[in-house]
Amino acid sequence: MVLTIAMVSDFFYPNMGGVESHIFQVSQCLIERGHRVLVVTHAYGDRVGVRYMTNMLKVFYLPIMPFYNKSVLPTIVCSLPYLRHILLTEKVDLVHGHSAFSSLAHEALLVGTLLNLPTVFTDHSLFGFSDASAIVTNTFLKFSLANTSHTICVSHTGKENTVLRSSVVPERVSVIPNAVDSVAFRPPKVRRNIRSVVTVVLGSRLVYRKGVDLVVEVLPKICRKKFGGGRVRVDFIIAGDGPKRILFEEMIEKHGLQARVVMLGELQHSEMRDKLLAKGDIFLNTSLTEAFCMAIVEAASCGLSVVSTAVGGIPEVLPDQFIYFVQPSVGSIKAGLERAVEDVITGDRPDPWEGNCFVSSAFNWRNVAARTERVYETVCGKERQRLATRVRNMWEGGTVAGPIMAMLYLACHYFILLLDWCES
Amino acid sequence: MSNGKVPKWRKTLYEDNGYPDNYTPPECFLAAIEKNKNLLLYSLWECFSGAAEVGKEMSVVIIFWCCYKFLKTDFLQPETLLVTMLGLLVVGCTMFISRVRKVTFAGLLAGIKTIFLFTIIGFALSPVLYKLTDTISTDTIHSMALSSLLIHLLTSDYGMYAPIVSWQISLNAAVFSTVCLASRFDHHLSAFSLLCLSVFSFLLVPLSRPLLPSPLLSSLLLASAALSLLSCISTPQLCLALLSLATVQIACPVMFHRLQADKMTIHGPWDEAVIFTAPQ
Repeated sequence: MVLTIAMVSDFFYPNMGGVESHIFQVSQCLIERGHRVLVVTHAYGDRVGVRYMTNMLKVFYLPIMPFYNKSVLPTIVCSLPYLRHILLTEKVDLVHGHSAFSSLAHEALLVGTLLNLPTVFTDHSLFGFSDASAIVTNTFLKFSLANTSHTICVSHTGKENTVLRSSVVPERVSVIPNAVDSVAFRPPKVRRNIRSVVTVVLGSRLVYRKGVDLVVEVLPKICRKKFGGGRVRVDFIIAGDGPKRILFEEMIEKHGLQARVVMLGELQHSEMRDKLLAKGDIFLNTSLTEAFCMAIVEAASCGLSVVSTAVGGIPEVLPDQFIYFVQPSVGSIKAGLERAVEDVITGDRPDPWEGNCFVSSAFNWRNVAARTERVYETVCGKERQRLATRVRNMWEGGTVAGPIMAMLYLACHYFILLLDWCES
Repeated sequence: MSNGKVPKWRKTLYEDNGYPDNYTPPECFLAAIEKNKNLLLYSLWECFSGAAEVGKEMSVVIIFWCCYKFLKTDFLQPETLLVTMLGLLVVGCTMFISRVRKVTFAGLLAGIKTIFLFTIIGFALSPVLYKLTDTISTDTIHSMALSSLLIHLLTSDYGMYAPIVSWQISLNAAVFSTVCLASRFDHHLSAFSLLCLSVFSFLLVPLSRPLLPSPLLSSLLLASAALSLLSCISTPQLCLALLSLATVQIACPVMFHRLQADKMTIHGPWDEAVIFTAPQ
């Protein structure tokens, strides 16, 4: 069955990130499988209108400016005419929205259900429950997913989190992990010889969420120690930028580690392998919460040993031979790093190409696209819901918010009828 | 499976167990969820004590308002007020020094110097003070004073941390209300005594919290004093004050205590990890 799929999200090229590369790679693999894919996103600076990317991937840059956190303001009335026009003229069979933080994706799901198209939503992140912003976001997500045909999450923990947040039926949530290009992220041709230096690399945004406060505490302790019977020392390379970068600079000054710790600053995703991962033996990840950490899979694909905090979906990603799990505390991270360094010195770890083979078979984009296609086929085969049922789903979403959202839904329905009449 | 055995479902992303992507094993799904972990429940006594702090501050505001009214109607002489406050200040200081914190002679001297400076400067500037908001009508003055006293009540420190708490804003709001009300006087001594009263009740009285044994008893005493003073002024205001004090000190703690049973928090592996900062 050949489908025309519309991928909608606020996050796409020229912005670089996990969601953006996910959309691009899955679209390319779906085109390879014979489907027609278009991407809808908001304008990036001067980049407005229709652009074509590799393999005739049509991208619509809608003339809406981002409002907060790279997302557009969720007005619905602004984007509804654009989305309706695109979905009708391109004869789209299915709407696929990405990322809970993207308001454009939620609006597209709304328009898709109003035009009686099957809709799919992919959630890429974990979210809390306790603070006020979380409560509001979760309520909106609940209404957004009330009429969505299917949801995809990137890990089992992500599935549990999404089900709790939005009260969807668990059978309507599939778990399809992200993937990594194992050809681009391959180990260096010449294997690094461990003589006197073991290099630990870190590549992330330097913010509180990534646990960099812990790294700042652990780093001097590890640098002071000698391994392998006193002949091997540990050096660090840190890539990334953020508000906590100043902590690293201060720590380096305080302990005099300028020769031992290199700060590379912000790196492009394409430079990650050559400038960071190819130069390291161990990858350290100290995130405090993560749905699916692509960085550790990229590191494993390049043949590095991984030391990571066991939070969120990380325990599900790599098997024990490629990863050392630690707790988010200074002592635990120090112990884990020491174990990893000793294993690197004695050579007691898998061959780098073994890691690359594992990642290429377990996490590859073609597999993700095939599983996504299976979801599409399930969803397209289902019977369409009547308008009354969809309004009822919204109504039952809450005591006060439910009726309000149901009215809004009906108002949008009449707006679409008005637009249909205007165009005829 | 050729040998008739189905592999067990495992919570991993890298192996294909043969199960469909939306398979939800009932025993594993949401198995790690914890509800109401580390829940802090307050006893009824704690609820009443906490509310008593708020009630005390409200009573102090009412007493301040009554003193202003008495000063205006010349029922209370400014000299009497000043002498009473001085006496209470001396008593309070001696109790504070003896019970709470030992003060060196140098510290005591510095304190006396501050009081002296404040009194002199306040008295010197009081002719300017009571003319500041002279041209504004009485109704506007009263509403401005009341709203700033309300801000003072909202931002006061009642012993619990919250983003809205700021002693700077509360003290400034109280002094602003004094400046507004002082303009209604005819003589600068009354304005000065009102200013001293405001500094005494809004800066020094909250400092006496560690001196008092029980917040409930002191709040009861203050409330009865405030209401008896208010009964000399007007009955509708008395009823309003009684109603608001009863709501804050009785109804709210009881409601809070009852609603605690509805608390529900969800914890699980998706939570952001809390960094352990124990010394290594």
